[in-house]
Amino acid sequence: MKMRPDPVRGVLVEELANAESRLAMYARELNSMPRGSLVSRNIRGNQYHYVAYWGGGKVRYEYKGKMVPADIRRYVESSKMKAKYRGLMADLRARINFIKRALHERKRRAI
Amino acid sequence: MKEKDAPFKLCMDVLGRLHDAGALERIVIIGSWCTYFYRKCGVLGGNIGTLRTDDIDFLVPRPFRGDLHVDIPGLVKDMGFIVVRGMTGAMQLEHADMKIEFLVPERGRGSDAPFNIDALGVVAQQLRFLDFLLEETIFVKTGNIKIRLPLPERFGLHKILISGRRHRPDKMAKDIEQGIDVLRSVIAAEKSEKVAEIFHSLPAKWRKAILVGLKGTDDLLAILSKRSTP
Repeated sequence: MKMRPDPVRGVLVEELANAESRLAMYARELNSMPRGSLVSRNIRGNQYHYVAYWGGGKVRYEYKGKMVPADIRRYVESSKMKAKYRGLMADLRARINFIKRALHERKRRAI
Repeated sequence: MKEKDAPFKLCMDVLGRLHDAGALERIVIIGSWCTYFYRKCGVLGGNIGTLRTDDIDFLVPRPFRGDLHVDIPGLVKDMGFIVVRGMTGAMQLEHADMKIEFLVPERGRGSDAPFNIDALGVVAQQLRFLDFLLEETIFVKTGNIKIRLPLPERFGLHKILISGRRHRPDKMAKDIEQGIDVLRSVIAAEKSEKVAEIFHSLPAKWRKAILVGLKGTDDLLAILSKRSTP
């Protein structure tokens, strides 16, 4: 007997594919952004800038010298966006698990 | 709770920004968010299915006239939207909770080529039958925002009309289900004459496609078989 297409299952399958591709999209976007976050230090009245990043099991600092305000702004904005993307990626992972469980349950009930 | 509320909140935030930029009244919300707004704004009652994906489709009139200049991708970038290009080259704004797409009516022999809308800073996808939705639209208010939706009679018929062009059976079933729900709600609101009037104004090929889609719904077929009196 031919089974009637299940629109709910269709939506779930579509949303799962969307969530997985969006997770990959944010991962790509994060990789394309400048590494680390900007740290400013005031030493004897002068501002020095470093980019702090995690590497080899410890926090490393890369000296950036004197930076123009536009570059500083770029780093600050990129840090904000990175935090935003990481939060959205966490939501996406939770959603992928939720949809997978729902699909599994619908399949189990249909048997 | 968070899972349920996130797309709605995001949708309202996006609409709010478009409204503040003056773009919202110029574009029409189509797709499955329509049924949600029909019900939320009291346009339709009854049992309208609210099964939907989280994608939001904006229909942009063609040509897009006026002196509006808005950079929509820039407007929503800080919300986490990323610009991606679809297979046809049309722009999509992707977010963890939703995808925004821009559509324009396809004209003439048809083309897969993306359509630039400089005034909005977007590249839209061309699709058939969208002029049918643009012919009659309504404005509804949700919160402080005024949004533009297709006339429900047209939205319902359009869903049935396009269902036959779907390749995936589940998408086809969803379109038919949504179209039938909306048409039944319209008829329950005593607007069956308008549905019949629009139906009889369509080309014969379109009418045939709609009748095929509505096969098995005797109540709706009976309404469509009535000719409106001039």
